[in-house]
Amino acid sequence: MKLGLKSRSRRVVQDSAVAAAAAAAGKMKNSISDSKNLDEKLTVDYCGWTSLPSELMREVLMKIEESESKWPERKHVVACAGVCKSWRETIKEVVKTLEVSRKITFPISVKQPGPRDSLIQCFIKRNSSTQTFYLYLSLSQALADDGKFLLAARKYRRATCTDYVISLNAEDMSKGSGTYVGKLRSNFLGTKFVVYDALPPHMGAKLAKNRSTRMFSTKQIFPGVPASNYPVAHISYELNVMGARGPRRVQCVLDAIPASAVKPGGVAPTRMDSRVNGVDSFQQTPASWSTSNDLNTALSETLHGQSDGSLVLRNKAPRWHEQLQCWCLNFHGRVTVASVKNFQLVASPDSGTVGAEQGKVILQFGKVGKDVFTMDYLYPISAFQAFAISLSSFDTKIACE
Amino acid sequence: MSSPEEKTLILKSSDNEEFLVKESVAVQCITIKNLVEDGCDLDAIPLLNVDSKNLAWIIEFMEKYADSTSTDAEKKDFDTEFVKKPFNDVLGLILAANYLNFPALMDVMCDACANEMKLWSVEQVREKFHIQNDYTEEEEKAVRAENFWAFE
Repeated sequence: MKLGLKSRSRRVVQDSAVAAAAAAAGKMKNSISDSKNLDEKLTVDYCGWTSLPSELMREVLMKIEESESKWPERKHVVACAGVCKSWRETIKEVVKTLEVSRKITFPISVKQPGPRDSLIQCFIKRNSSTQTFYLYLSLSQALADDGKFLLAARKYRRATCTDYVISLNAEDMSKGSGTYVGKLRSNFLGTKFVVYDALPPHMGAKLAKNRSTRMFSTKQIFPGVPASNYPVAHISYELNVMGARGPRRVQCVLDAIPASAVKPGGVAPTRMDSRVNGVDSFQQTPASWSTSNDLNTALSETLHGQSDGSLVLRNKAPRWHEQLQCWCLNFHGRVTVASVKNFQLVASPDSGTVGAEQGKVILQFGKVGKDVFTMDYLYPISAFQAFAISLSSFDTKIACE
Repeated sequence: MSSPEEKTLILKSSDNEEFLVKESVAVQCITIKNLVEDGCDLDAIPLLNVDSKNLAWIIEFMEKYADSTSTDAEKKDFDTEFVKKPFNDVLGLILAANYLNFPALMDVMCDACANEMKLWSVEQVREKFHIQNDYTEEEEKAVRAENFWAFE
């Protein structure tokens, strides 16, 4: 095309189709500017669309979330959240909490209460030589075959106690790393245990004795800086009235969960972000917890919950089977080897649970092989709490005859 | 042979190419359906945000889906072949399907986009979508730890 003073009119004349279209549109007056615009559009390469507006991107991300509900494919959902902050926000909106979705997605899922009506089935593998325990989410009907790695714990025997350090990374158990999740500490006799969480508990929990204590310590904003330890559960083992001849008794006080959580209409605090990982801590939201989707309700509920104490779990007493001459618990096929370590925890009758809720097994743990154990849990406890409680069963010396 | 009532519409792309499409086929796009119902179909319907390349594909898709004789299996096979396009074209079709409000096409193309993405690393996704990584170095470290756990 020749450039010159007459270039504009040349363009109009040369491209008769354009002129015709402009004329047909009845815009003769503006035909020059119209055809110029059309010319520009003709030269724009439509392959220049290399990005989608956020609403359409959301559609695509939702497709990914819906199609990858099982592990290991669910890793793609996590990967998408790592692309940029707005994608993370979208994904977090789409992925509901564990209680609602029944799907474990982000690492924070291990700190969220399980679903109310279906057990999350897991298994634990013990490596005796390295004193390490690995928790996996079961991926198939087999008791302990296919699994998605969730948490690892390593035993450290100290002078007056034993610590089980729990981490998201089996290769990095250091407390200073961003993957440190918490620990289980036992007393010298192995009769009492405390579960510590690396992250602060819900503000409604009894632990926050000092109201002025800041919930969000600035130290925890940066991964790599050692996290504090907050006690979130106390476990104690006792001999029963029959002494060493009978099954031991376990009591577990969950300081971070109100007793009201298991009552009708009760809710349990749900952590929404994982400060240990550090990523979500950069969103300066005032609360990283939810007991429901409504923050205001959450605050009032926890204040209410604080008045009725912590949730207490006790082990379900086995029945003595006269013919088989042994203590029996119905593990519904999930436990296949008799062991004093096996247990089922239910909400203590004093919790005020009614009807069907009363005998509901909240945590079940038992042996299925030489170094393999199943662990099933549901609302209101989390995988982390269930794992820690199960580890205590390995350690306690009570009734080991 | 089309029946006397079978109306044909003229769809005009942004680059002024005209396509003849049966009304019953074209109204799968709700945008076009609305225009027809509002009586705007007397002349060619200008689709200002869809070029001829995309419009030709969209018509091909519409005709397959409007065909009552094609089975679900045939549609699935068609979809599999249809989405084998350069990634930028996949994105272009998503935008066009959104503009035209064509749910079936939107569904298939979003699925295709999602499936492509699953094959890529986080860096590749950023590249293909021209996304700026807005995580700080510390945050990036945490993202990597999170992915390490997910891919374990």
